[in-house]
Amino acid sequence: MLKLPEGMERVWIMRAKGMREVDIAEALGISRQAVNKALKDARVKLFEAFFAIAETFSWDVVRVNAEKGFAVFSGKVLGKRVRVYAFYLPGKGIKAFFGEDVPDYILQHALEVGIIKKPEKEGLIKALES
Amino acid sequence: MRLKLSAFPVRGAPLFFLAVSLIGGALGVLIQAAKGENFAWVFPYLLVFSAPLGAELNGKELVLLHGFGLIRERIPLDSIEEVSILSRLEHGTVARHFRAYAALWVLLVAFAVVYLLLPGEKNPIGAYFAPLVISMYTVLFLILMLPRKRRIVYLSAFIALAFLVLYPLVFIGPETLLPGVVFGFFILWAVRTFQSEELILLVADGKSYLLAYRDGNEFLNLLRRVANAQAP
Repeated sequence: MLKLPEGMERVWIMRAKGMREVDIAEALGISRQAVNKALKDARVKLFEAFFAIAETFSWDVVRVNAEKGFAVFSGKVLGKRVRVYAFYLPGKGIKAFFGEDVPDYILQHALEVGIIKKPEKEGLIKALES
Repeated sequence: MRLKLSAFPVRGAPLFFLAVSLIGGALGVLIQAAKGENFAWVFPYLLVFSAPLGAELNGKELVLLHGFGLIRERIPLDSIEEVSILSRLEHGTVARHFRAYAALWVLLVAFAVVYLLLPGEKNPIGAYFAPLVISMYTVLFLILMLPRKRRIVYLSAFIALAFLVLYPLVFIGPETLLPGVVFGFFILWAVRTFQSEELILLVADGKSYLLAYRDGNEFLNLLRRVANAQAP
């Protein structure tokens, strides 16, 4: 399971929460170029991780957002077409969920990175699907 | 690598040329009719600069081509933040990501409605061009804005076809029948083409791009293969 290197992950999560590159650089005491490079590398790694999951389970990719670290897949399970939602969680890696079976800690994470403004499942699904 | 891909003129220079061409064309006909000067024919030619001409995918970037390849939009692969197949999303709409582009289409339909309501007997702009513009733009607008709502698109295409053929037939005469049918076939072609291609949203460095490609999976695999080659 993919986990971003610690320093890269710290930069990525700060950006996902909406901080500007220049503010991240100032907060971490590194150059803006280093922040930019870390973000680019993080995005490439996240894209590859989400695509690898889709390939492993033969799911179709519907959406991959490396900025906020989530993906939407469409796949077949026991002959039924299902939606799968995956999130990159700092320190934990990628967690995937079927349909609307999204636990509360994912809602909290989605709130923190600005995918949703209120901790509601319907709101999260709509945000992921639009 | 050259890709047979359509990049919509949703931003930058291609959107500028599209807007000048369509708004200029719509207003130009009206000004021309009032002043008698013949200049409105210039505007449709500007459409060429917004027309997509495929894309190039090299080791580091995706280059979208417009207007004979004179206008190039370069997207570094490591700057891509999001890839979505809009036509696979439950609530995917183009309007949410491309407000200026959506507003342009709405404005054009509004222009056409105004033309339709223009006073005067045998007003060819109102009775002939307006149904043409309303029908074609409405169908294209719905195809782009509601890529997953096939029933709505097919129903609107049927209504648009009937309006396009019948309105000029009633208000002008049978001589409008043949061109009406020809433009009707264009509507059918547009619906069929857009329903068989997938609409792809690409966000890179905060800028959104809209692409159409025959197979979303194939496009994603191509991007992935090229991006992997330069992965850290």
